[in-house]
Amino acid sequence: MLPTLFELSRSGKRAVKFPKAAMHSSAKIPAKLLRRQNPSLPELTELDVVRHFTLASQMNYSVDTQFYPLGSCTMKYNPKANFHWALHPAFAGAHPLWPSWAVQGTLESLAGLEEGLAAITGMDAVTLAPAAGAHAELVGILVAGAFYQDKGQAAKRRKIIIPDSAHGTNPASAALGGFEVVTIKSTARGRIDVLQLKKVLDDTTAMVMITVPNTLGLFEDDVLEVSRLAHNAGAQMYMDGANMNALMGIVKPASLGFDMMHINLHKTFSVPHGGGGPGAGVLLVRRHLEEYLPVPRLIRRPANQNGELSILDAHPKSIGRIRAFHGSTGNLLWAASYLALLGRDGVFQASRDAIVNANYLRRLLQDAGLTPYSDEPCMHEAVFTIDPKKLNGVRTLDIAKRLLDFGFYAPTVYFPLIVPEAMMVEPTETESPETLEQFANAVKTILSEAASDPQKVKDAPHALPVRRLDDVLAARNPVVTYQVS
Amino acid sequence: MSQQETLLKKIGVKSFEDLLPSLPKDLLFPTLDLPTGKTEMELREHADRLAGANRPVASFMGAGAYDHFIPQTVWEIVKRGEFLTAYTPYQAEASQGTLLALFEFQTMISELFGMDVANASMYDGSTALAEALLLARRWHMEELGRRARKILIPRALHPQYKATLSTYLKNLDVKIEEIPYNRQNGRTDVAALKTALKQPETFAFVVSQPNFFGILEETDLIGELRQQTEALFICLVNNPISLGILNPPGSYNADIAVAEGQPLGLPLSFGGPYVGLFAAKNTYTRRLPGRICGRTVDAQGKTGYALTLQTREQHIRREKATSNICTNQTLCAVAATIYLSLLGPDGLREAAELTLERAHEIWDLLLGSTNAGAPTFAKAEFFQEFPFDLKITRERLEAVSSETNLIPGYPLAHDFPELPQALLIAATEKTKKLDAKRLVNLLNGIKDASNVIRA
Ligand SMILES: Cc1ncc(COP(=O)(O)O)c(C=O)c1O
Repeated sequence: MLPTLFELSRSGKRAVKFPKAAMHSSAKIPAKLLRRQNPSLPELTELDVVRHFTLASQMNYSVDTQFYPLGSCTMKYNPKANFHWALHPAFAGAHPLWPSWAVQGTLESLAGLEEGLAAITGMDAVTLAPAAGAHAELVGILVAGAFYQDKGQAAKRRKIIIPDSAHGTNPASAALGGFEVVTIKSTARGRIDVLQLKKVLDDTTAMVMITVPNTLGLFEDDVLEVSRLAHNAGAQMYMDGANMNALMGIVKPASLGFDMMHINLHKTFSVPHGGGGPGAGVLLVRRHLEEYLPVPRLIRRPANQNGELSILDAHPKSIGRIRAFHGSTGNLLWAASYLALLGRDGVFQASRDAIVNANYLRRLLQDAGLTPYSDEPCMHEAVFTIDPKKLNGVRTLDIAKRLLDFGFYAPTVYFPLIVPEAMMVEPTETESPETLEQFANAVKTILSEAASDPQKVKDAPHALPVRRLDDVLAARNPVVTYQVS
Repeated sequence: MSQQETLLKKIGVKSFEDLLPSLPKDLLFPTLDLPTGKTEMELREHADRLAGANRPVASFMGAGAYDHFIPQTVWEIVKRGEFLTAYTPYQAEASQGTLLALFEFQTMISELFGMDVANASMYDGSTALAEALLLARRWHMEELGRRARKILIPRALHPQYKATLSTYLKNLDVKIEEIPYNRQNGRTDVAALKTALKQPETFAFVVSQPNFFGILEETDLIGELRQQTEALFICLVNNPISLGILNPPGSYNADIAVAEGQPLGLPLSFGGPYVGLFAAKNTYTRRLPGRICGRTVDAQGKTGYALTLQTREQHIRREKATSNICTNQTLCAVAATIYLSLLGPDGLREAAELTLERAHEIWDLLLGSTNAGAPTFAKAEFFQEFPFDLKITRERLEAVSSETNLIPGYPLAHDFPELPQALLIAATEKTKKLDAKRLVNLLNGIKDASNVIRA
């Protein structure tokens, strides 16, 4: 392991200097507020810093360096052309509180993105403010709350129904929004159980929150019926659109009956994941929910008033602000750029190729010896399971770690929670058939190792900067900072 | 045969539609009202055209986002594909680079704030503050077994943060009470805070250092109040660069310290992506929101890093999680880590001192001018921004500002009707003296402010 910056630090070293201030801070700041001791930040030269982080970066797997089939995360290639718009100094330098006359280019870019996303989903109104998918979920839930408040039903509609295959953020966001979570079990086919839904759905339900395609990589074939039932009960239909990469140009969520949905732009719209963020979420709603969307919002003045874009800072029915400033604009510009690059045919082709690639990989992995969760074709990803009893005790986690030795990042494992030993594989549209074949070959090799030398798999990884890490120790005795002094 | 057809054949279906048996046939393949795709060359022209519609301006806007100097090295490293295109480090062994950087980030933020622990980032400063209040609420209810119904915030808190808080707390039955500020010096009224803290069911009090007006609070006196209350003291550090010279929140008893980390190497970028900083005393480690990186060992006893304490998080705890956050602002945290390691303690101090000096130069220029107006708070003690009561009307100011491409600051009247003429003016170490002179001319109503082109 590399030493930390704190271990590299030597007193007196420095990379960046500023001109000396003529004034001493004690002349302007009361002594009792002044810092008595410097913070123990490391002291390093620029080369120290560059070398440290370059070497550190080389310990990461990433899309630019490896196949990264992490299910539900849509690790597609992030085209470099998008940097130009996303990091252009004219956009990067704009302060969020500048008046709209100074930032028409930014606002036009954002308006274009809003229109494009509305076109793809069939929704009517958009907020680009959420920082990520979970943030958008919370906003959607608060929007539904405000809608029922307005209709005088807020006290009654306290429940949000969520299938057990849902991502953890769905119930966490519902709880944070002040709602009660009702979990319903999925059917043996991995779909919403309509009979069960009917039992819990009533006029205390605020929302039915489902993921399409769901986290098993399957399309909810009863979705139209679910929407009808939810609407009859007076509830809102929310679509977790983390898997939108399967639907562009394939089907519009609005046509399935959804009242609102989010898109994780850091998945479907290729905003780089950055090792865990920053992302950008977007919440899209049908007309009846528009006035509850958070502020600030973009509005376009009528053409007779020069058609300029401006910013609406307050609206009486809005849920209010959900973050200090407009949104993760740098990432929104990236998504706008990606959308412009792809265009109408490109987005459809992306989704179609993602589905074809996933089915091809599903076939290859089935042939390699993994058991698909479902017999049906998958959408943009597929979930597999294994039986450790038949593999000398080798578990999904072991296979995941061994894949790292073969130069592949691992699939998402142990999610969705309802599939034992789950392995969720999402190739995305940007990978070649050859890469998928190489990956399947690696899986095949690992499964045969499980028969011949199971310990080798259980001890993996062998070829990385570290061997298998002890998570239990990390949690039992948390060391989350370096003890500098 | 096209590649598509070959793959479909290998999959064992005749057509692409055969892969979609569960989808409603009549809704398939809708037309999309989108332009056709662009080549990279066309894309660049398009982006440049839009960029040209943003105006180059000189700006004294601060109010929670600041145009500080960003060393070249920061983004040269951040843009490396290995950092940029990795996902959350779920497979720790293949993510040691990001994890190591996060461990260093947590250490630096803890050090800077004088706290014990920090998490791996929140969305921004305002959501970090909201999450801190949620932590405090749950601490009171679950750990202390008390009712938690009320929080105290300064009237002089960032208005957009106030708005964010009230959205987050909307459905949770929490009352928000504002503590007034002193009209002479702009500081939060500590005596009023002390009295308010006696109210039952108060689970947290927030102080911003400096406050939204840029004014330095008496954090020593405020910190002492913590000893007489069960309410958690949450400190919002208005700009982490100020901690190069200011006492850290840990030194004055804060339980939790949060901040907007944007000044640490992130461009203004019209509001984001930024990075919420979240640090706390040890006591709260197991209740922190969001991801945390921890040091551990591998199977052979070698040091390594992994995400830890995950049983707090949504993917395991679901509706009982400490927060709903999943994707956070990791890459921004990496940028902040690089920024801080380039500056070191002395560089940070220099940046803070230069910022302080630039802001006071503007103050002196304005005080020495004949027609600009008067300071909103005669006895202001400030770090990098201050409010100034203008003589020029709001309408006139807006007109001249747009004519001259000079944005003089943030007018306070909208959020603080009691300060109808006040303009919040900010500086950083980058503020140019020439621009400062243009600003003073403009505020004095001198027309020729427009003659000087931005250098
Ligand atoms: C199905 C699903 N829902 C929600 C989320 C949460 O989104 P985010 O991480 O952007 O907050 C994710 C991604 O992690 C997801 O895969």
